Amino acid sequence: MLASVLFYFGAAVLLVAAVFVISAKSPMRSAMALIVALCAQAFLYVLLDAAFVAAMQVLVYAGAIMVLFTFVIMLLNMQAEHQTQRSLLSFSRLGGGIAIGYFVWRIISSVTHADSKPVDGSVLAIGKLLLSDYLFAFEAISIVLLVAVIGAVVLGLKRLT
Amino acid sequence: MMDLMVTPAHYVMLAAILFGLGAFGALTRRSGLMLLMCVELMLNAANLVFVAYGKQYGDTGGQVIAFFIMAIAAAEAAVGLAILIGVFRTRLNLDVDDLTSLRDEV
Repeated sequence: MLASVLFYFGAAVLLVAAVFVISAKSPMRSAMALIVALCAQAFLYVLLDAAFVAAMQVLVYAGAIMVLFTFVIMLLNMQAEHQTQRSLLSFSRLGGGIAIGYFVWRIISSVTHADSKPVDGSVLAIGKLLLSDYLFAFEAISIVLLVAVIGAVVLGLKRLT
Repeated sequence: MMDLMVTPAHYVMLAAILFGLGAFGALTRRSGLMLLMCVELMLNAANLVFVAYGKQYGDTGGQVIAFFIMAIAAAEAAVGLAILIGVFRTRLNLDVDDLTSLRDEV
């Protein structure tokens, strides 16, 4: 009973923050709302027995990645989008909204309810999996991160000749 | 009383709504930065599905995949923001509707 109350609380915070992310005019407010959404999701991870993932969500996502975002927003001194004020119910927006709504409804109506099983989300269990079953993916992701760092530095160079 | 029980399927439904919101934002917002933030929302929805199904089947693998998605999201944010800064340097705005220089002239 308590678990379901906590779930609906976290889900409500997450959805309200997500709506604010896509509707706020200023990018800075969107970024702040996104941080709230990411923290609410970390809360949901805790409810799913994924304590270490929740900690990483706060550290890596709400911490590192969002610091990058806010840094770029402040660096570029972004103002709110000067919309040519398309009407809220333009044809393309309505069509896209209906298509996405249909997609979401198909997923929601097709999931089957099943009881959850206990899952070990400790650092020990995840670390063992990372270095055994997922060893190749683990090494590959480190190369991807290295390439991304080099790529970001190259893209950020003053002159690309 | 059974209806009030929260199963992993509820988390999947929540993730579907979250993905829909992110997709709608990515299609309707015009600033490149907003586009990246909406992509982050969609990646988070995928993460939630992995962790929820990991809980349903009692498998820690779902959480391990969530880590990989986090790493991919970090790489995407780093490269994407570097590209945005490069775009801003030459055009002084980030409106994705204006980025048409690679479009084929017909």
